[in-house]
Amino acid sequence: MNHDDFASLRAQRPDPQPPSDEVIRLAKEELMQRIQDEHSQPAPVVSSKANWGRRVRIGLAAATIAAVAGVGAVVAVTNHGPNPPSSISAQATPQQALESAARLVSYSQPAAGPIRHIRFRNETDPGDPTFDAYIRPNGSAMVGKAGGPLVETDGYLPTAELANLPSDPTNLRAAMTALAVKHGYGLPGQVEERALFRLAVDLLSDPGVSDGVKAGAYRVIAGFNLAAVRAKSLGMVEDAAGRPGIGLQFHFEEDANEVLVISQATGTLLSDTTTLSGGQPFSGQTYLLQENVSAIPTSAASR
Amino acid sequence: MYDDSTIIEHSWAHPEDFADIFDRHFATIHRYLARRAGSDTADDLASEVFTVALARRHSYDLARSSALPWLYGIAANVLRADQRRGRHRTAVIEPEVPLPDGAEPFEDQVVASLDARRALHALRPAWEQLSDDDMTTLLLYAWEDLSYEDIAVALMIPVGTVRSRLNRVRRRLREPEQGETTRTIRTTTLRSKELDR
Repeated sequence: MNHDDFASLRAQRPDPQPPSDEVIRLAKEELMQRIQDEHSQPAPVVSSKANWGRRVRIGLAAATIAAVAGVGAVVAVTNHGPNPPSSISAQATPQQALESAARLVSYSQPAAGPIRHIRFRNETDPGDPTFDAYIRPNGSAMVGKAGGPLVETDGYLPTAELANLPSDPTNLRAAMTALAVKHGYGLPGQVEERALFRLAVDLLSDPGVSDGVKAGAYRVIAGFNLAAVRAKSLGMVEDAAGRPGIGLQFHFEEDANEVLVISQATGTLLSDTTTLSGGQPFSGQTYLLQENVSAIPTSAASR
Repeated sequence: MYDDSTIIEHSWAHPEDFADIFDRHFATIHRYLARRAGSDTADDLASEVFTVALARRHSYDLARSSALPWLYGIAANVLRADQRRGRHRTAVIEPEVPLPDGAEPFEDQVVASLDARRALHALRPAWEQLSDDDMTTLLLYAWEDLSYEDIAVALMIPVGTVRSRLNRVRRRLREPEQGETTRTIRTTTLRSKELDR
């Protein structure tokens, strides 16, 4: 027996029968009754458990009848799913704002189709042109200015690599580190978190990334040494397209500031910009649309 | 699609959403209670875990995406409180529970419960030395596969305390009983079966 990992004890772990349908129904009925009580009496109610065992063992027949009605009610109230949580507070600290954004972003609508479509504005090109990128599952893409011809390109993250990312921030950070190395995020001499930040921005603006992973990406950033990168909340700001959002500033390098603008209502990343210390913009994208589509539109592909 | 913390946060204003937490985790919590105290006790107490959780949801740490460690902690407390009330004798710490002879046709649920008792009875000499806290920590680790961090969340103790508890348990389980320097759990189990014949 290997006591060190309790192997023998693990081997003798009992495997009890799962709860019967009746037990589940009665338990849920009890819970829903508590919820109803709470609706009628705002103060929380602590279970008394007065007759629970007796009801399980003796009252199954009668209780099942009531439970059928109870379960029906349960389905009715749970199928709608939760509504989005409250918005990001303009007074939130960077960490609080990132956590709120993580929860909000998980409420975005699921999309369908193998082609990832991102519409963005490049803020440092003359005229701030809007681009469409249609990304195939293998990471190749058709990209071009909206209304103009699309050109073949590649270098985007393959869909399968995005699909395999975990949402738990600890595991996600490890996976992102591997991904950042593989795809050359960051530059020699830059701190690891700078590379992770750039990758996180790409994940947050990519429709091929699940809501859970986007939430995890916010939490990965929230887990940075925020004091070291001088993270600062800018409160309510506007992105380059004039959309209001919560601004968060980071300072990974001495000569540059990174600013994320996050939708206060949905947690969606609206834009990211890099500004040099002298104030001049270095790079910036404003994300106007992210969706999954079934195919590259013929009109777009041919234009 | 939504993680537990999101649902719980929303249930602050819409308590009916807490039913989703029930749907996700009731079977797991029931299994934990059944392993520790038998299926009948689990049937009785699993419901209470969720009504207590509903009442305490405003204190849930929203930074934790999974509610399961929190629910394990509530389950452990509910079980402990039930023991104090004397309404159930848990199999884990009940030394007087007789071993089944294995020949009687028990119903499935009873068999599962007795299997747990049999396994624990085989370990009884070592188990009897464990405090309830050590026992709970050990079973969350070895039977429920919780990480040190999750156990710390469940029991609201520092991770270091989890580590020290498990190290203490390791030392105790490694120590042979007096006069039986070569005795192992395997021989204990065999001996128990022999005595049953």
